[in-house]
Order: sequence, then structure tokens, then C-alpha cells
Amino acid sequence: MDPDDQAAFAFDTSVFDWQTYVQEVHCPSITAPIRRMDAIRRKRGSRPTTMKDLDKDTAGDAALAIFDLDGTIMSTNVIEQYLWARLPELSRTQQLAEIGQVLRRLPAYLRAEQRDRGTFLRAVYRRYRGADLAALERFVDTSVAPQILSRLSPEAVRRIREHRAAGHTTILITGVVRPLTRPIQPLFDVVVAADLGVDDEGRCTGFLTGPPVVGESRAAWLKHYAAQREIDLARSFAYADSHSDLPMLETVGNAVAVSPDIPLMRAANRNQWSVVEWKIKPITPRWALPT
Amino acid sequence: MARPGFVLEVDERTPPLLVPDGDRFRLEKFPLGTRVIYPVESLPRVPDLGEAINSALDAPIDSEPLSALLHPSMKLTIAFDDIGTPTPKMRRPDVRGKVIEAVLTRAAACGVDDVALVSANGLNRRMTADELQYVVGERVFRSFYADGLLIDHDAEDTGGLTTIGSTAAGEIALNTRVAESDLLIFVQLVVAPSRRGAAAIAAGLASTATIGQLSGLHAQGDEAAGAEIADLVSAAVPVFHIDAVLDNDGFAQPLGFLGEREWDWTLKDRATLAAVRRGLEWTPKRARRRLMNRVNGDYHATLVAAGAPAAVEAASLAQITAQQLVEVPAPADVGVLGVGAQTQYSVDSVTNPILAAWSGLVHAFGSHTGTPLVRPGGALIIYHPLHAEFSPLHHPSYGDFFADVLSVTTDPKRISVDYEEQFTNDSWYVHLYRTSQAFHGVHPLYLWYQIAAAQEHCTDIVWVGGNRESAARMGFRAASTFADALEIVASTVGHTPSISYLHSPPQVLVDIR
Repeated sequence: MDPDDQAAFAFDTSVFDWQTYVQEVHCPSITAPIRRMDAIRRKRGSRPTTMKDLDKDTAGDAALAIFDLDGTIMSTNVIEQYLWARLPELSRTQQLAEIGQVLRRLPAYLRAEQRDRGTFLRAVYRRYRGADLAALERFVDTSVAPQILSRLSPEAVRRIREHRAAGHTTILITGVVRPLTRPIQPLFDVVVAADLGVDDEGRCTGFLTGPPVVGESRAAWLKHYAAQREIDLARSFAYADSHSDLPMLETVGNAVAVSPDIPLMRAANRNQWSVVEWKIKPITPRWALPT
Repeated sequence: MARPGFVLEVDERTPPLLVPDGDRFRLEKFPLGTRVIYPVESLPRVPDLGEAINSALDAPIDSEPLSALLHPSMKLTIAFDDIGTPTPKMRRPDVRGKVIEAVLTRAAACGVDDVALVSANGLNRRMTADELQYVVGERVFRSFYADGLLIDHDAEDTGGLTTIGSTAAGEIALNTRVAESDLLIFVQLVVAPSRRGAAAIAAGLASTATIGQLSGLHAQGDEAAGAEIADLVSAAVPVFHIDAVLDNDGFAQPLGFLGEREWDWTLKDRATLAAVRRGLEWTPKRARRRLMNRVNGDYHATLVAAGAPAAVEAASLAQITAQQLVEVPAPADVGVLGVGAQTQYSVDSVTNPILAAWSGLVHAFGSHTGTPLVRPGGALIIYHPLHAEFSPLHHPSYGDFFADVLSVTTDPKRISVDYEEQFTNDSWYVHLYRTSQAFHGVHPLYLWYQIAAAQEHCTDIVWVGGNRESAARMGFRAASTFADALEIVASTVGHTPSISYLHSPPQVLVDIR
């Protein structure tokens, strides 16, 4: 060794405290990164490796995180939601009659859904005719909210909150009527939902104030929203469960298929999108009504 | 005459013993020589509850009769503990409802108009209207609820909290209605010798920050912190305390035999147990949970005491100690216990792994007079399936704590430094706590601090039948059978350890001689 370096680098192995070095320096320097990886692996759980880790995302408010509602972050459907809102105010006989009417109309609803999701939603929302919108909102806040919150997927809520922490604008885009989105509104910066039309007395007319945002219109809405705010859709995220949401998923750079149906699963495999299973285990049975 | 609790030594004639295992029951054959700690049978109940309440209110301890404390222009608040006490829920009518009715009768007779009722739920979830009615009774509910005079306490309502003083750790803020009352009547059911008196008022009716001073990591085992806050509460609000001490009848018929000793079971009891066990095995998990959540306790009051908080606390402590204390000759190398379907934080909900750990390690194992059931460095074997299921309605922050925090660290000090503030101030958790039926965001962290104390005491904690991932996530181990669990702990306690099985519920207060 060069004599100039000896003062700085030379050491006598016989006087070095090897026990301290091995126990407190060498071993921890090997195990610490492994422990860190273990922690990351445990935290990731069953999440696929293709799902982007938002801790490293730098897009901030230039990116959107768009979530579909039914089947993606929540286990429910528009007919069930209508029954939650409608049945509690009826007597037992009237409840049976209402369920009977809905069941009778079910084949027509299913035909409408096969034809066009918008037609189906309009047909179901006709049933809200005569409902007091303000009273409906109060009822959702006080009684239906537990039903809705208990059907939320914890993984979905965690992911929405991760997007918020990353500075992304979180958007809920759904065909559900707006009052029923109230319990989860604080999770989102923007809620795009179906608005029920009301008459002069605040009673629902059974019509919507605009077309429900479903299928192709979701992609169109998203492009319009992004263009207005200089959002980079290539760095944005979208989460949905149905093939009807394909146009929306294709619009963003990071599409995630959540518990997808078969056509969406095929599309996800084709496009190498992340596929996740967000399990939803409601603690109350489906037939339990809000009180 | 109630038979006292006792310790049985397992011999060849000992039948398989009942072990709760989540929402199922096992019959387990323990090794010869295992000490089985049986609870005390229920003490004689008060012969006439109405008369006992009247006597307590009219001849209280260290206080004037309640009627003498009431006057027409006063502001009167009645606080009561929430639906988690007792667990399982007691059959209607709830004793608290009867006590509150008797108090209201006297208030009406004295012309008191300004009366409000507040549930002292602290950071626990808000009760539903049905649950409030369950606790206070239909008449009281009908008279007060619609007018907003029967409410849950909100520890995050900055407009509804009043500062009553401060400690070195910060301000002490109490529910404004309580702080401004001329008299607070605090009605509690006593099921364990836990925190009582003014400290219990603070734990149930104060701000999140104040409750943090009582439940945070630094407060674990620090009696002085609680005493200082209790003094401030006592100085700020005149309190008339009413305690009803409950017996040990934690299972209503037809399951009452589950709280009895196995050799006392009749043929009918054995047939019922066989049917229940088979039925529960065949029932899907969620339906089974709903069934077990419907099991009620057949509790009765063994003492009603009212008056000055300290005196009432002493009287009820003596009674609950007589009800639950069992003398045990020595600590064991291995402790065994089972965690049942419900805990006080999972009424009508899901007992997630953190609540199961709290129930086993704090509620059951922590019930002692100073020396735990297991020697320091010993092992604990607990029965519970530890399914990683969390109620999104009641325990949203528990799921996140389990997934995001326990996957990184189980060290309470690190959790306190790195995560406590985040979970305390998280706006989504606060929103759910205030508007829905969620436990406060920081609740799981406070329970974890308590769990950590038991973890420190035992070298090995093994869950029989527990989900391996859940157990590992919390720093425990899992085994398929009791024999496997004994094999696992053999490395620390040897192959012939002394074993003590805590035959609970009903609750046992272990007193190591």
C-alpha cells in the first residue's frame, strides 16, 4: 500500500473487533435489504407485479385515477340499490308487491341491458318517480350508508386513498343515481353519476337530467375532462370490472381490470393490463334492508 | 350458594374439555397433569332489580340521595357505556335501561327539564338507533331520541368539546354537554375490574387527544397519567356514579351449559352441544358468524351501587373480584385459552385477527391480580381461526393497519412514532367515525400497544387452527393441532411443561398465590 494511504486505509486485523463488525455491521447490511424486500412483498400481498406502485409515481395532479362503482369498488347493482331506497318505507305487503313488480319487469330490464346499458338504467330509474329527492338524500345518509359502506372493497378503498396520497385526482364514474354515492363522496375529488330530474316540489320525475355516463360516453367524458385540464391520460389510471368499460380503460395508460368478466379478462390479457381480485365480503346478507 | 372457582388437575377420568374457537367450539383432551382453571359460578343475583336500584339511589354510598341532588333549574346529563359492555349482549331488558328509567323518574319528580343522555363510547363506533334502544329501553328511547337528547359521544366534534384543564401532555377536553352539566350521572355495567370512575368518564366522553393520553403507548402501565386526568374530570363535573355488577351467566338458554363445568352437563346438554357443533360445521362461515352474533348472555345484577365515584368504584371492585377471582397455585410454562365469537369491539360484526389477539392476550390473559397465568418467557397457546376478514363498515382502519403497518413492523414504539399521527388525523377515518359506524382510525393502534405487553411477556404465542399468514403478520405462529402447538413451544419450555388451561368464558380473574 502506498505510504500516503496507510494512515487512512491500513488496519491491523489482529486488533480489529471482528465480533462487533460481523454482528453490527456486516450481517445487518445483508439482512436489512432482505427484510425491506420482505416487508414490500407482504404489503403487496396478492397484488400482481404489473400493478404500479404509487409510492414511486411522480405524475401528481397531472394524472387521474378513475374508478367504476358497481362490481369494482362495491358489490351491488342498481336494482338492489333501488330496493334499499324504496322498500323500508313500505309495509310488508307493499314490499312483496314491489319486489313482485320488479321481478316481473326483470326480463325486460335484462333485455334492455343487453341492448344498451343506458336504456336499462333509464328503465330502472323511472321507478324513482314521485320520490322526494331531499328526503331520499337524508335517508341515504342515515340509513342506506351502512349498507353501502359495508359492501365496499377494503382493497379498493386502500387503492383510492393511495392515489389521493400520490396527488392524483380521484374520479368516481358510475351510472348509479347521485344520492346513492353520498356515503363515499369524501373519497373522490369528482363524482360523475346519474342526476335525477325533479319537479317544482323537489319530487323526482323518473327522468334523468342528462344521459347516464356509460360505455363509450365514459371515454368521451374522460378525454374532454383531460383536455380541459391538461391531464396526461397516458399517466392516468382506470379501474373497471366489465367489458362495457373497455373504451374507458383503453383511454388511459394504466388500466386495471378488477374481478373482470370474461371479455374484459381477454382484453386485459391481450393488452397486458393488471388484473386484480378485490374481494367484497359484506357482513349483512343481501336481503337485509336499511332500518 | 355459588360454587367458587377452582383448579382441576387433569387425570384419566377427565372428559374432553370445552374450548371456544372463534364461532365454533372444540372438545379438547388435555395432557395429564394440566391445570384447568374454572371460573366462579354466578353469585346470587339481587332478588328484585327495581328495589335494588331504588335502594341504591335513595341510600347511596358517601353521597346524599339522588333526589336531594336534583333541582328544577339544573342541567342533568346521564352517560352510559356502549353496546360492547357486556359481551355477549345481555338479554332485554338491559340493566342500564332500568337504572336510567329510575333516574328519570326521580328527575321528573324533582321538576328537572333539561335532561340529556350521552353514550360514553369514546373512540368506539357510534351505536345504531336500534342499539341505543336496546341499551336504554323503548320508553326512554321514544322520549329522547327524536329530540336529539339521546346521542353518541363524538370525540372529534371540536364544537362539542370543552377544555377543562391540561396536563404536561396537552389539554383535557370533555364533551361540552357533560362539562356544562350541574350533575353527571354515570351508569356502568361492571363485568371486569377495569378502568372505572372519573378515568372511565374521560375514556368515554373526552376528545381524541385526551383519550390518546389515556390509551397511547406512553400511557401503558402508567397509572399516574390516568389519575391526573381523573382528578381534572372530578374537579370539573359533579358526578353521581351508578354501577351494576353483573354475574357470570354469559350464555343464555339453551346454551347456558356452555358456562358450566363439563361433568355437570346433562344428557340433554351433551346432545345440544353435539347438535350445535355439527350445525355450526355445516353452516357457511358468514351465516355461522351471524348465528353466533345472536347469542345473548343471561346476565343479572349481583350488586347495584350508587353514590360518590370512588366509593362506588371500591364497592363494585370488591363485588366483581368476588365474582371472578380464582386462586391458582403457580404460573405455568404454557398457558392455553380459547377466543370466542364476540369481543367487546366486534358486536354484530367481524372478529378480525387484531381483535382476536386483543381478546386472547389482553382481555383473557391480562385478567389477573398482578402475576400472569404464564411465567415470564413461557408460551401461550390460543384457539382462534384468525381469518383475515375485516368489516369495512366497523373496522376500516383495522384492515389498513393489518395490511400496511403490520406488514412493515409489529414494534409498538415504531408504530407509535411512524403511524399514530397518520391514523389519528386521517380525514376518511374521522369522517367514517363521525358519520357512520366505524371505530376511530387510531383504535387498532391503541389495542396493539396493549397486545404488545403480553407479547413481551411470552416467548412463544401459537394459534391453534389459526390462519398462518395472519399469525405471522402479527408476529405469532400457527399450528394445526394442540399437539403441534406443544411441539412448537417445546424449544422454549421443554417437552414436559406445566400447562394451565383458562376455562373461559365466563371471565376469570387469575390470582397467582
